[in-house]
Amino acid sequence: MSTPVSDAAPSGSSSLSLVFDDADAAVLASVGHGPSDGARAWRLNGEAHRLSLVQGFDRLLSWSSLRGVTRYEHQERTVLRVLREMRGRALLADEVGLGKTVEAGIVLKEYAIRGLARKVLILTPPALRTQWQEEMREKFSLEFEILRSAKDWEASPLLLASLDTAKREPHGAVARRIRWDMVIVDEAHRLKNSASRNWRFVAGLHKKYMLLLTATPIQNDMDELFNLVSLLKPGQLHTYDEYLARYVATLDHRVPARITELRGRLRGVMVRNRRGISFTLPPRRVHSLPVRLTAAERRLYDDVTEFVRDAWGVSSGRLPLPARLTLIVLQREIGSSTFATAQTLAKMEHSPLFGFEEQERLGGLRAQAEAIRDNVKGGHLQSFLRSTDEKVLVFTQYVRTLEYLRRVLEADGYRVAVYHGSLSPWAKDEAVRAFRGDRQIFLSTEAGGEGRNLQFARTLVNYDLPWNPLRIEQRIGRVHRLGQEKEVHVVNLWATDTVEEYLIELLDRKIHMFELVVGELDLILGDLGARRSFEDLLMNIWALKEAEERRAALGRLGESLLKARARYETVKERNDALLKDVSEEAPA
Amino acid sequence: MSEADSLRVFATALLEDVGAEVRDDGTFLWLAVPEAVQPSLDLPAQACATFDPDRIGEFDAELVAPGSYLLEKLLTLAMRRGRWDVARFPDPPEDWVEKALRAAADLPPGEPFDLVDRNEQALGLFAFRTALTSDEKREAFHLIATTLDGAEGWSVPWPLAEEGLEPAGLPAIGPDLGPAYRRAREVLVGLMREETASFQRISLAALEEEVRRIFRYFDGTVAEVREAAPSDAGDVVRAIEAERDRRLAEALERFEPHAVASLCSVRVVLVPAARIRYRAEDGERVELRVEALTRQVRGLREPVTEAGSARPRGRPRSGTPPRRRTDDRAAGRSPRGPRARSRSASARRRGP
Repeated sequence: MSTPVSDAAPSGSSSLSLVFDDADAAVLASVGHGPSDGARAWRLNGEAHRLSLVQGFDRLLSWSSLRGVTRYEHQERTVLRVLREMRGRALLADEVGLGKTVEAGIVLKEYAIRGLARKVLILTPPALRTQWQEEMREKFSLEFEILRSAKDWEASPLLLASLDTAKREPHGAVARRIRWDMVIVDEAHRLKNSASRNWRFVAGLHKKYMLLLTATPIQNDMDELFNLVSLLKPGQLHTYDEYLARYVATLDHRVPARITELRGRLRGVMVRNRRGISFTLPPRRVHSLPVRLTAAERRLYDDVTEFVRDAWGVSSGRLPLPARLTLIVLQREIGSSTFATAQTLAKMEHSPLFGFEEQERLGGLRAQAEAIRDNVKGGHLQSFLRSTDEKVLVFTQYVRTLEYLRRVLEADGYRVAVYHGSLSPWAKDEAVRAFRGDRQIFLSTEAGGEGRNLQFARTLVNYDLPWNPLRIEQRIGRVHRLGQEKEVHVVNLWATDTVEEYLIELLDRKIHMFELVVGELDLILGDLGARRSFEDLLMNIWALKEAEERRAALGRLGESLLKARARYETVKERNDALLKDVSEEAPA
Repeated sequence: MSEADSLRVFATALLEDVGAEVRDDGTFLWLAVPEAVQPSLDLPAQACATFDPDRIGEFDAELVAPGSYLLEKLLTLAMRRGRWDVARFPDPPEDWVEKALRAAADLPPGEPFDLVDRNEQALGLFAFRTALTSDEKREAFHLIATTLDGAEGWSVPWPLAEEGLEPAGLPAIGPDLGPAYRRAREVLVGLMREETASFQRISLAALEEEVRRIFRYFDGTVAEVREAAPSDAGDVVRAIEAERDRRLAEALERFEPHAVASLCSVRVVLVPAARIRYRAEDGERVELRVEALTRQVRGLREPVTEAGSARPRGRPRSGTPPRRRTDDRAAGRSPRGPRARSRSASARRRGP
């Protein structure tokens, strides 16, 4: 209990009283008991209190603790608007690539430093959970846990969950019982439909502050904008019927009316930064380097693929998940190097997931892989590197491939900075520093410099291609980002007649993903309409026994991707047209 | 001084004060942390800290910056220590009374005054932290000085220079700080009155706007639902009203203003004090009090008239903020020596 002291207000007045902490009595009682800590301790006590004071949102407190975050004026302005004017409830609708995640992170950090956000939930698409977790840890020193079980809801003050999981029982009920200081929803256009479980789940959360992040708040029609804004501030766009009457011009709800007035109302709840001149990234040039495998490599690739198809097909969908994942890994590794493959084959050879005959086959494949001492793709990488004086980032998914490449490149006289997930934070920083210094090559696994600024380089090589296109995009995003001033070169090494050729077919030739701004691919893949991940779709095609079937399925997936890209372009144009002046000052 | 510099000075001073060995090479603080505080700081015996976020992890360096884990630990440790102290103000120069009076009470040069008496007074210094919260937070730090009997209290600036204060034992009056603490609270309430009222106005305006919008939206929606399907609207309307009530509760929780104060620390200072009498411009004889630490000149509320009767009177000409003059202390001790002061006077209770 604390003690309110009346502010000499008349009796019955509702004026705010200063409440004194009951713990004051303990401080008073301590006087004279035992030795004093001394004059300096007394002064330091006062200094500690003064240093930790929070004075509204007069300035941003978090900058000095952020790591690897470049200070951009548009982001600072956005954060201050969200804190001061929107009072922590905002739709962050920046164009793709302008750093919505960073803006959300800074807003969160500002509340956290002030002690106003202790229980926080971030809802993301499943594929982005790890990326968010890494970014919050690396840049903001915020340790989010990814939701694994229903216990995590209460146990973890900072929680990351996929919206799909969170809304399902038993999770949904627990989540609704908790009083959240802040809820952040990434790719918030998934809340466009107020009749959906997604929307109802987020609306039902008890929260103080909420940030919705999407570059495209309008996907199909004007209802979606109303639904998003009503989640944050019901009534900001009037009631639904009033909204239709005032701001919607056509019966199909696709054409806005009274646009200036609508934009005015949106400014109370939405920030949309647009790409100004200094935020236009230089172009990317994509170089495709197809490689013909040697006879031994070809034989191994085909034999491994045959094993994978046999195992995948025999089980006809009832394959246990661990076995299924192992087969996917094996097929991905053979696209990277024989060295990565050999290690997995050795493990599989003794795995109870596979029968005796399969284990025998695996043993043979392992011996085949170990007999190959060199990979033709490595030679192509060496040839490419000899043709350039630039600093080059070389990405691979596997540490074994990385070790092989390091050996080859150092033997060639290159000074290589090596970066992978097992390094300590300090060693990672050192690798980046070395690359910034005198190392020409930055050899990295998927953990390649998340959140680290590597845009002093402009050439990157995809030594292998992750099946998750977002991973490819993240690699490119290390150099093709705000601050990059030169044309960026992306070199893709891939072997003909492999899954990787399928990837190139779909991602490069069909939807030209290498020309997209970082972030746009999420929106296209998210619109595929499939419940399965892109990797799963790809694996299912590759696992088909007949070449004809594979070709047809690949064609269908390509068509779906094309349609998704076309839809995205339409949506982007629609959003640009309506929302272009919502932010008064676009970055110059 | 930049924020990072302030943090550096604070962290170094605190770590040294708890017995750590600190070596600052300009980039890192290299620390030998005594066993007793290792758990509080969650640091090993040998540790490294940095104020540069880009150097985190190098030599396992931990960041000291707003919001960082180590700074939180340092702040918590500092706040747990130093909650009370007793000190004595060293003898000021002989003319300190006149200087204080002329500086603070706007007494013209040459204006005569009578020194009624000199004594040693015990003052309580109460450090408070206040927080005004709704969906935002505004904090402040206040230092309030009071006479130990609680008769008088006033605000003083931080840092009140205390270099040169000498350690002392508790005065004879004993550690009953209740009256002084209560007076300090009253002074703080008065100081915060305007800001608290303003904060309340802003928060309630935001709440009112939110509540109005919620009612307009949900009640409007109910009306639209009833108009669209009058016979089937029951369940939908109930759901909408439940959602409205939930949103209202949420808004109330978000915007309801709170004002809290907590006592951070207490210091008792034994300080030279004096009573002065002089004739004001209107001919009234005014009695004032002043002490050497805060140099706040306090006037009696009732002037002493020729006839000996009293009538209400406002503050005498002292409207100037108190000023510390460290040169006075540096000028040396009083030629009268410490024994010249009446020690018993420090314990004398005075009326308002």
